[in-house]
Amino acid sequence: MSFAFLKETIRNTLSQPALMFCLILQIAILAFIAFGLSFEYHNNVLVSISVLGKEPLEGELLFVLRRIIMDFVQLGWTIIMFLFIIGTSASFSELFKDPLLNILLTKKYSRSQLFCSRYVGVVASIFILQIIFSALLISILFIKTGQGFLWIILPITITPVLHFLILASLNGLLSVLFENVTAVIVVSLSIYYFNSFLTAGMALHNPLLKILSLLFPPFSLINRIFIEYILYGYSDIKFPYYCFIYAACYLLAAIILFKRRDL
Amino acid sequence: MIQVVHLSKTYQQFGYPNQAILALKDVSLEVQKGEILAILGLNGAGKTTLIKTLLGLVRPTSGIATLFGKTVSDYAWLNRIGYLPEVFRVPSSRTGISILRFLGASSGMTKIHLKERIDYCLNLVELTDVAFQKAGNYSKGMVVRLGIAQAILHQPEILILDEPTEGLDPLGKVMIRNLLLDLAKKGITIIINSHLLSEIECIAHRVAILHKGQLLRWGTLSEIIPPNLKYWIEFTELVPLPQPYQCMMVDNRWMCEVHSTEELQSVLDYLRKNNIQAHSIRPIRSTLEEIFINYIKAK
Repeated sequence: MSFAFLKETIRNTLSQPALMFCLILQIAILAFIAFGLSFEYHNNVLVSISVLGKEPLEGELLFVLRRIIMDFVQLGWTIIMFLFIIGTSASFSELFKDPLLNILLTKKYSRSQLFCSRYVGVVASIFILQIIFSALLISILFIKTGQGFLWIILPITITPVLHFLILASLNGLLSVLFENVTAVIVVSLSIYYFNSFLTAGMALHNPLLKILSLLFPPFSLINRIFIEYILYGYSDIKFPYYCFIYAACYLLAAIILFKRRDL
Repeated sequence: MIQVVHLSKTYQQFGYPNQAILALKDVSLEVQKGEILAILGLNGAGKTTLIKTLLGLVRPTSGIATLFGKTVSDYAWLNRIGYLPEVFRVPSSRTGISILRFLGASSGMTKIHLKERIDYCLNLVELTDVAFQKAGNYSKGMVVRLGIAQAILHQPEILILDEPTEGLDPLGKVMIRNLLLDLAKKGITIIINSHLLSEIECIAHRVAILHKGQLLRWGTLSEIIPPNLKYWIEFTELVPLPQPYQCMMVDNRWMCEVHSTEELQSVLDYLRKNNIQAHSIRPIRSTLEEIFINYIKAK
């Protein structure tokens, strides 16, 4: 692994305009939760939550709060994932056109090392962003409610990273296959947003459709874990280890193709 | 040091098998330690493909390229080569020194050694004063000089430069020329791709002329450029000369053209005998540019 290149990738990825926009969006979500939600306590017990000073919300208050967090995080998530995909697709496609890559390949690194460094750099960038976001969200909620909300880390940090373990490797593979950034972005977005449709074949009895569906990672299943964790604090669905298998397969295929490619 | 044997490269167009592009065809050449090889050719002649094949960036269709006695695909040459690509783009938000630090760190240089080398290389390419400025503010020539600095930063044994004088001002060209000659004297082997034939003529030991992927001519500079065959004898006034020579007005000067050293000797003998003074004698040497154009036109 090239640490100099890894650092460079993190720096480049975080300075992508799409990711800068994500950051702004996350700050807006945090600001809304910090200033838009009001909590009322009686004898240290949460008795009322109101949004932007409107009528207090009814129901089991902690569940209401979880619902609010989920709605905002999910809204942000939809936009953020869109921007993340655009940002990281460009990151891989630019790699192959980058004259510095040709220079780096004359240094002590192999193609696979540089490709892996770019991959780890992209995933690490997302991880850094999400960790900061989660930490700030937990801090804000702790200040406002006095409760820990540590369980938020799992859905808000780990889930996007799991998504990106797969998406970044998929983007890498698509970038090697197509030499066009737009094509990579369109295919990535399609696989991500039409995931339920693409993976629907898994539930069918037709073996061909089943195999075809298996080519696409089940993002929608990971999303279900995310929703259940936020709403109930736990999920019955097993930890999605298959994320690593998908990521490894895509990455391996991308590296093999990248090694054979003329630069 | 560098050996290319029957190297060919065809770029296949995905989905268009009939539109394959022949970039190199049966190219063979050799470069010894401390030599400067210039690769000449028109745009699309295959110069960059040849360089990229040597660097393992492009896989040859057939033939072998060896560096340091081992085939390129062995990657035994890694970190022993300095490379300046044809298009050296740098991140505009980074300073010149940070780019060198990044590339030096990628070569595995220690911090202390890297600092010493960066100072030395920046001084050599005269970029010390702007080292902490963002590369986005650099002129085209400054970016090229930064590219050369990064290529020599890790003290490579082979230096491969693709159009290193592109965008440089005359002083910059002289600086790079002297730098390359100095490096060659120190035993560094240099491969240079350039369209500036006058520059090449000043520094190259060997020349390879590529055209449409084929090696048209390959050899030392003296093999490529034939020895002087013509001389101009200049006079201050019209003088009588023996047949078949004659004095003629060229650019407001009286001149006589002779086509060999023997002819020159016989005219000089005649002038001495008749007490006629010649103002100057100028050898007319074919330039690399003329030779290059002749080869290309003949093809």
